[in-house]
Amino acid sequence: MKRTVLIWLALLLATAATYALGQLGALTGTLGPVVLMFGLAVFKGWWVVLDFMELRHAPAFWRRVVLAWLFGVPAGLVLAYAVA
Amino acid sequence: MTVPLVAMPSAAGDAPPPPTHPRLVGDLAVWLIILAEMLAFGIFFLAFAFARTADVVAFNVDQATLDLRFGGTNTALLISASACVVAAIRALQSDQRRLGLAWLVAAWTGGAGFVAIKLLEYSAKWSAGIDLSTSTFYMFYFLLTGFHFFHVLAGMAFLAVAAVGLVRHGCGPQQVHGLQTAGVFWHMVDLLWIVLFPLVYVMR
Repeated sequence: MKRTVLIWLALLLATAATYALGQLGALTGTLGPVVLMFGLAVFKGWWVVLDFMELRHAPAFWRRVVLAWLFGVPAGLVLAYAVA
Repeated sequence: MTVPLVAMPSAAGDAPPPPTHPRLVGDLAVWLIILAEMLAFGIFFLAFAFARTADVVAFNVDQATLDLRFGGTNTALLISASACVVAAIRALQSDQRRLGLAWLVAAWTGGAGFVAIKLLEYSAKWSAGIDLSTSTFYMFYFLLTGFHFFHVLAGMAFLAVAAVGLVRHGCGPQQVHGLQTAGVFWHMVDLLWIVLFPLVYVMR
């Protein structure tokens, strides 16, 4: 339970960071903040996938497929922002 | 007598020890649905981002009209509801039905809060005369968040069915398995929003 609480707090903290960056308008123009923002999303997703969905101890196929989505989709989004 | 399907926790509320063999939590059918949903949303997210490249300024102008507080609060609600589902499963694995139900009610309340805020947000947009046809950004906004909204409702329905099963039949292995199945669907809904929030609300 302690681990779940710690993960929950980390997820809330990452959400607060995302919100604060958005409020500050710190995301306009350059690619660095875009990478940071989607990096925060991947960080949050990592804990949801491995701990909440319990894929850490699941057959490797399922863990790899979901993690491939978690890294692949944000990577594609960063690419789209890079070419914009 | 109830026979646990899953490894028992070392103490009430603790995470169970890692299984000796790899094990997929929840029903296989829900995992197949999850893969299909993630694929669909992934394509949709990429379509949004690449459509934006055609008119970045228009997208940014429309995006600036969204209230970040709605998106941020809803992210916190979904994350908290996910943590409550995890706590409910842990409680049931320790044979603490009342505690499990209390966590489930908390999770469901988080989902209901998300729905209420989303309806408030949609209502504000419609009152301002904004709908699907307003712009490309708003077409994506309504389709993406609307599609996700219906997944939140489905997740809440799954959690409610799992709760009713617990009330009627107690903490049997079938009920724990049912809640785990509902739980992984709920976590997927959370995971999708974790990507959707920065993409639609925050990135400019």
